[in-house]
Amino acid sequence: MKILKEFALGILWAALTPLLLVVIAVVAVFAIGNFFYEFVLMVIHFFQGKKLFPPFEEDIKAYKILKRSIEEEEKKEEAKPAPAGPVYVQANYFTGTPPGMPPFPGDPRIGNPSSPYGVPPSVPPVPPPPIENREVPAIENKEGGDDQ
Amino acid sequence: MMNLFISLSETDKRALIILVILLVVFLILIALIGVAVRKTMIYQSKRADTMMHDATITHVVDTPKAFLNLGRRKNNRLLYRQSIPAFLLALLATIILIIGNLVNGRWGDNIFAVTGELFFAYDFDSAIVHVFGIPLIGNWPAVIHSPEFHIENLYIYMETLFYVAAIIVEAVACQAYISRWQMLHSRARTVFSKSLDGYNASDDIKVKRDKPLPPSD
Repeated sequence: MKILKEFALGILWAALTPLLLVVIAVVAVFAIGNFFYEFVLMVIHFFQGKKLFPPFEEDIKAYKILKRSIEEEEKKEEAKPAPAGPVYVQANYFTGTPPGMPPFPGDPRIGNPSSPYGVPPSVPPVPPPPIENREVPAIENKEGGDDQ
Repeated sequence: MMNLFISLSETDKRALIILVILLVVFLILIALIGVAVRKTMIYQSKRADTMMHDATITHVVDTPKAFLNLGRRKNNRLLYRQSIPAFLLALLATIILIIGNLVNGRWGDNIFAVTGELFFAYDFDSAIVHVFGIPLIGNWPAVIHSPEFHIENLYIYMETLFYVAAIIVEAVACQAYISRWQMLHSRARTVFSKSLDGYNASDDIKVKRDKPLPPSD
């Protein structure tokens, strides 16, 4: 149906094409006069120091209104407080050795005279506690194990 | 109708079938031209919305009269800008015409007739046959004139080409002007129109309902 409608409109417009050509010829005569009129206006604007085709007053007003509304939107966005997000407290275990505890063996400040924290008193390295001999419980070999 | 068709000779039947096919092809071509013209004008008219959008949504123009006033001035300025190539082409062709005629002195020549010498000319009168009263081309038309190129007419060929190009460019610009003018008048009616469809005046009435009576014992 759409194709038939397009076909019918095409026939109608083709039948109206001679009338359209007549109207175009009339508008072309107007276009010649309009060309010289706009050309004279352009020359006047040039000698007045304005742009050749200055924007219309209505366009300037519309531009100001749009710009003001955009600036107001931006101000509203800036005025909104930043949402308070979750605060993660990162525990830093390497700021120093808690009192009563032996220094971490890998702490570079041990024995380093240029360290801003100074040279802690030399403490002999403490050997790790011995692993007690304990019986390891046997793992029961259940059915369906990896031995299959 | 079928008896008429049966009584025709074979030659007439073939001519009738060919005539119907040619008519259908002709109608399709005509319809395609019309579709092309319509689609082009719809495409050109959308520029009117672009021209008037900002001033309309900000209510700088808030009446149909103000809308049309601004639209007319913008449309005229755009027509001027789109006519500049056509005027430059026509100016160039005129300069070539003046310089060429000052050199050759051929002020009375018809430049379009001289340019026509570059194309074939056919004798269609001898080729037309009448089928059911309708004139159709029955034979290949005889060639009256073959193309001839004369170097001394080169400036005439160039100025004719530029004049034709200027006419085509200006015709397209004027068609665009008409399309935008029609869209501006349509929008001036619809953009500021208000509709009461779906509105019922009695829907706004608020009835003050009395408090319900307490239940009786």
